[in-house]
Amino acid sequence: MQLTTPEAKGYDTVFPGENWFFFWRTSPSLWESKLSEFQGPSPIFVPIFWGLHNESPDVLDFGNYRPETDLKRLYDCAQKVGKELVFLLPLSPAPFLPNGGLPSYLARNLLVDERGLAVTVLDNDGRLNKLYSFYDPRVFQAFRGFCNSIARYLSENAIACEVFGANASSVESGRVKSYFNDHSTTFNRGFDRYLAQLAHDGELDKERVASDPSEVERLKKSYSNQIQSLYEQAAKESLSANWAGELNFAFLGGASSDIFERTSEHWEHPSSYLGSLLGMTTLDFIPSSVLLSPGIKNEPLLKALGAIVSEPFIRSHMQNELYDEEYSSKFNPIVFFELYRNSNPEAFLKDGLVQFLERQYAWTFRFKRELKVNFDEEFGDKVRFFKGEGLDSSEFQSVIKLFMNGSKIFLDLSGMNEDLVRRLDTFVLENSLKEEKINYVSPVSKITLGEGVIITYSSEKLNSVPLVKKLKFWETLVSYFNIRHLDIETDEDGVFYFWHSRPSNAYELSYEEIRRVSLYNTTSYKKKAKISGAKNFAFLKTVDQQKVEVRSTPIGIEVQLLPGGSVSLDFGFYE
Amino acid sequence: MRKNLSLNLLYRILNEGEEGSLVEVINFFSEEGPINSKLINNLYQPFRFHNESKLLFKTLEELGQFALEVCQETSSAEVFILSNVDYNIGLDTCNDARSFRELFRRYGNVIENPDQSRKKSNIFNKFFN
Repeated sequence: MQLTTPEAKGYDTVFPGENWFFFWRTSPSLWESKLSEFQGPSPIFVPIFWGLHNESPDVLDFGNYRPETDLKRLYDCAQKVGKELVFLLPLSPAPFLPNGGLPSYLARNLLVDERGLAVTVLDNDGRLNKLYSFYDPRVFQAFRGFCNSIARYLSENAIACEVFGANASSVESGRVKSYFNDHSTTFNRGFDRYLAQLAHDGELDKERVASDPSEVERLKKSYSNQIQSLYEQAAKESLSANWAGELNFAFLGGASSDIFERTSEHWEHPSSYLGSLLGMTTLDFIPSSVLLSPGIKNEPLLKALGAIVSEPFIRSHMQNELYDEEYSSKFNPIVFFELYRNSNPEAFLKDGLVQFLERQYAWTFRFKRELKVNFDEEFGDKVRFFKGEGLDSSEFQSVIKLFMNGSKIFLDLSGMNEDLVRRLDTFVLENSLKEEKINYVSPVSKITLGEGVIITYSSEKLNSVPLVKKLKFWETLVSYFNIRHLDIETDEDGVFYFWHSRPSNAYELSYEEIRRVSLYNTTSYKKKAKISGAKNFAFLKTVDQQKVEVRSTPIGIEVQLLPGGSVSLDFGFYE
Repeated sequence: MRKNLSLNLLYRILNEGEEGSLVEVINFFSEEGPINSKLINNLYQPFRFHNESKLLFKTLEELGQFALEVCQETSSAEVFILSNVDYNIGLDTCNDARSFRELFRRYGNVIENPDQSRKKSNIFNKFFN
């Protein structure tokens, strides 16, 4: 029981960031006014907080006992004020919820990271959220029951709201860590059962497991994927009437090591949240700042969040078909390259591609988890990279289709199934396609068909050469596609930038598109940035200039950013 | 880094099969942030017995000795040493940032810096010294 007057907060905790609405943090009588006042991007994300509705094993509460659990009332409020809601059902421990979202009667086995530390996250209200393992069979059984109950509730109350499964991750040192990953004894017990089952079915090579640690890691990954897909299936099947797919979120400040710095009163909060934010976007996640208190969200970070996590960006992740038509006139992040990491996410690092793109085309590339192609869309504008290793027959077929539709493709033949290599050769021969071959660091072959190009290479050869040579290799090969972009030179630490573009409007007919670069200084020092002038680009204007001096010079634009300074520069691009 | 701060060291025991167990430092920080990595690397050199980038020790005594040297070099008052197992147990009692900050003090083993504790003065020292 709280005996003191609650501390007044200078911010609204029910809207902790972007378009998230934590409805349980306020009285239901205020839902309508809160929703009507909300100015952020649409739709509004409303997490389904399992622990809120299911405090004890036999009680499921949807407004029967406590009004704050009444999702129907929440839905009606949103309808009344004309706001679109989307429910998010966590499919992994959710760092922004107490107990990671689990009911307290199931919060028994702590989630443990690879260093043996219990995963704990500080939320934006200064509370510690301890996360618990999803590998406990009791958790899964109860989750399935909860999914059935919520599906019944939505159907009985005619709540025609989309439900997305939410996968939560954090980003630590540029690597994604899913909160589903677990190293606890609960995980290990389950893994032992899995191995016993494999052995029983005669599918386990015991000698290999005993002698090869990488085989154990592979099996652990496979076990983890299977359990994760059980949760996904349970939610998808139960909620099929409302189910709209899955969304992948990455939470700023949610890495397990962040707890030490975020709980300290004197630790200087790093500017790296902006770097993490851009990294999350590159890794194809929806970034979320709901864990960060307003004190940490400095001006540059807030601006960048507003510019990146915009409505078009959110809708593009939701794969809403209206996206293209409705938002094509707005600024969207520029994506020149897509990297499909079907088998080994580290592979593009080994062959130096990521390092090259980071240097030459910072934040204009995306890692893609799977190849989802809508063959009605335009293909010519992106360069796609595929790893042959792990490519299956249907994916190979999609790569060929992309090529035939005019796409630009890099295909790494190392580790590619020999049948597929033969199929590619046959395809080239049967269609009498033009093929040029050279030997440059690795055997390189360029196959063309109209606008479509496939460049094949072997990363096996590339991996063994020094980084300088790898960078030169990529510079030479990528230059073939003649990607028009402006070079930016910035002081090393603390200055971040990213590119957006939109088609030109009726007043900008001399240009094909408008490209906008937004620059942010997150340090407490004065910083500089230079944008070299280039053919096909004309500097148009500065936008939203704060604590910044912009100077035009004969060789380009010079920008001086004071601490916390930010600016956007618009360039017209013409062919 | 300010003087007279408290340092926190978090470690775990690694079971390295036949070679026995090793002690690995997971995190070493003060209330102002991580301890300078250059300083840590310099002070770790006498204890180094491997080529990995991790901070590994053969015994807990060596870890304690290293922690004390860092403490002395940074003119810190004390260092609280906590294992990952005790950290996970201690977390049970933490609900917010304030209680988390107390975790190392409450559950860790303390090594005081003798140089700093000697310097500690109170009102009586002024009269008697």
